[in-house]
Amino acid sequence: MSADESVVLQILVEDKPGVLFRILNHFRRLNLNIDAVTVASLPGVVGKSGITVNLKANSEECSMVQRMLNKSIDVVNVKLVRLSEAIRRELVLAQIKMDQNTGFERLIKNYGARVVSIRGDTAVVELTGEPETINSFINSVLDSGLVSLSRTGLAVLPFEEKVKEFAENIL
Amino acid sequence: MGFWRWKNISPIFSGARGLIEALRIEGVEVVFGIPGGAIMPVYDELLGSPIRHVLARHEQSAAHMADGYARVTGRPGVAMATSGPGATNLVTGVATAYMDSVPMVAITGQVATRLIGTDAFQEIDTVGIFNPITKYQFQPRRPSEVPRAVKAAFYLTATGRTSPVLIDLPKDVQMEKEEMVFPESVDIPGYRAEYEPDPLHVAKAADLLLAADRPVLLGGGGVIKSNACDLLVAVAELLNIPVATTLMGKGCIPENHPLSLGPIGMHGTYHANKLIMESDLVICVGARFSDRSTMNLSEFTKDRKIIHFDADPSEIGKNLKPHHYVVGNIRKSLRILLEILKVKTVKCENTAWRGRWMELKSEYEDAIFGASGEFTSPRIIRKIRDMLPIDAIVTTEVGQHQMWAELHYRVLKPRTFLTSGGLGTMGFGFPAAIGAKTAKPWVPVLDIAGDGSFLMTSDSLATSVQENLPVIVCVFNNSCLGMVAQWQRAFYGGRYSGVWLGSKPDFVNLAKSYGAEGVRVNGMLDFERALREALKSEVTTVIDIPISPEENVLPFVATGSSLNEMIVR
Ligand SMILES: Cc1ncc(C[n+]2csc(CCOP(=O)(O)OP(=O)(O)O)c2C)c(N)n1
Ligand SMILES: [Mg+2]
Repeated sequence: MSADESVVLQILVEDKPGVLFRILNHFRRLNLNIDAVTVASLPGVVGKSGITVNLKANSEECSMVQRMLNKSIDVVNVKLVRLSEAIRRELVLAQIKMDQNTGFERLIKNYGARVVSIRGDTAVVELTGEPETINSFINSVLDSGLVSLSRTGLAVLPFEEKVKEFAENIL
Repeated sequence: MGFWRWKNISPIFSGARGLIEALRIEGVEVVFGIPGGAIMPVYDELLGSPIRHVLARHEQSAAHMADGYARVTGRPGVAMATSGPGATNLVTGVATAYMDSVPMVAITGQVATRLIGTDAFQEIDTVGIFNPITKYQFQPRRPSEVPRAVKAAFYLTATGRTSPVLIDLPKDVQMEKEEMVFPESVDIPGYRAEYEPDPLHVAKAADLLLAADRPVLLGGGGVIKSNACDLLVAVAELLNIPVATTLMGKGCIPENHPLSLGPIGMHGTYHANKLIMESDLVICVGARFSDRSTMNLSEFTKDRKIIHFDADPSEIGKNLKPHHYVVGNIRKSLRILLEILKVKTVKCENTAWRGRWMELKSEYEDAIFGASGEFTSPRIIRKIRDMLPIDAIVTTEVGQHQMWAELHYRVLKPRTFLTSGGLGTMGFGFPAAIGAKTAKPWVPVLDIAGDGSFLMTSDSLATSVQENLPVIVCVFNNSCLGMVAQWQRAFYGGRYSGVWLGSKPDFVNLAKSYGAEGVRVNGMLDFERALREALKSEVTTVIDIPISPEENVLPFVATGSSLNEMIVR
């Protein structure tokens, strides 16, 4: 069995009720723990949605779940993206009490975050970046003024020529 | 009644009427089911339609009947149930069909849409429950969605890797009327019904085959499903190579054919298991290399090349990594293979390999390991074969009797041997026999049963009598759950736990109480007489055959062992 690797599956599906349940049920059956999942409609593509699933899995698990996904009636196609081969971005919104964070200004500047709203002594800050950057940002505000946060999970864009099609992946 | 009827008009129908019309368009002649509150509008519409309804006594049996019907005809069977308990009772039957890739449409009633999610009376999340055991689930939310759902359900169930599909129909959708269009076809973007085999892939398979010294063909259920048995046999005959099968592939070559080895696997024949492990190349067609067939997988793949032909691309590399594969419709793939081989070869002459398998086959083909005495299960099963016409249909339950049937019942035509291979469902055989009889009332249908299994669906006796669907049930009555007892003897030091069926009914009187025939036999002559009578009978006959509880099914490959490490005594 090969080692776990962080991978992303980009799944193009029909856009209708019940689809996400059917898709995620395959991951459940294989006891795979999903790190992030996002669903978005795709501009210019009517009736279809893109589901991006980020998880850690070994290559046997990846090929097994791809096999199941490919078989799913709702799935139009599946791409496995190795994260080392793709641009990765996440977005976090963090609500921070400025008076409890003495280095607030510097923090914002260091990370290249953006203040999107201020109410009284509380600011909502937006940061986009690789997950590691987001993690490090969250760690820095965790004990100093963080009130609440929301992060999106991963969006990835592979360099197209690096994407492997299903058949190549399994054999 | 065809599609033409609603071709250019959009009638205003209730969902229930729309369902029945759509079923007629699909050519459905019979549905198996049990009514209830949430499906009453459909049952009311059934009354006026030419579709036959066969009343089951348990929804599991209704699904097995639809399954048996589908396995012998190749056309989807239809099972119907009400919401809640009706739907949950269907589960085992639908899962059985799913595991053996049988086309089936299960139709369930559902509570009205406004009640879904409220834990209303007999509301259960049928779509959620059936998701893992069906190819797809439909729940039309408007009457006008019904025709498309039915068209799509029948398209999905019967094409590609065939598999059951669910239609869950809320009661308000059944009752409300709406204008509806009956589509001629459906477009499902994520679904590819069929893959065209790549001739270059097939050509490479042909080259590998011709280069092999000791090739074996392995036929699975996919060969039968794609009606490609004649082509498989033609390939084997052209090259003079032996054909083994899986349990599901039994019958893809007539088992009295000189090239037939019979099934491999945990309870495969001695010579099939031995030979496949001596081969240097296996061409597996339409089988999934299940653990019960290959047994120890690393031994199975060691020292030999494997070529995998399958209709379902997701099967390639799932259980083992083949050296070469061909994805595509099996009939088309085999036709191309045969044509290429015809160009490249002349009929093969005798070789050392041919000598070897002929020797093993002739030595062991008639071996009955472990059976001592005249009136033993293997001999009874061979007698059944001798007495049945070649197109008779045999079903089995699950247990020792099933494995004896696998070993000793020679299937001579495809679609005449029905067994629950994937799920191994006790109680399958009897209702499946009734379903088969519905499809082919003119051929004898016989269930090779165990006492334990028969008790699980023996209430179908009522259906067989009421619906005038006479079948024969041979109960191999060892007063125990014999297969489990055999494992307890083999692996648990003979400590029997929960296997004795002490107070079971008298099967003769049980049958008679339903208006069927019952007879108990002692000895082979007695059995012959009983079976001859049963074949003439106008009602179902249960033949109670008392056998020893200690008899083992042999040969036997223990889990983890390689196919050629057979226990023979
Ligand atoms: C529904 C179901 N429950 C339990 C089992 C496990 N099981 C496999 S074989 C067997 C015994 C079958 O007994 P019987 O039908 O009398 O056949 P025999 O082995 O005695 O020939 C059991 C309990 C099963 N396969 N299916
Ligand atoms: Mg028994």
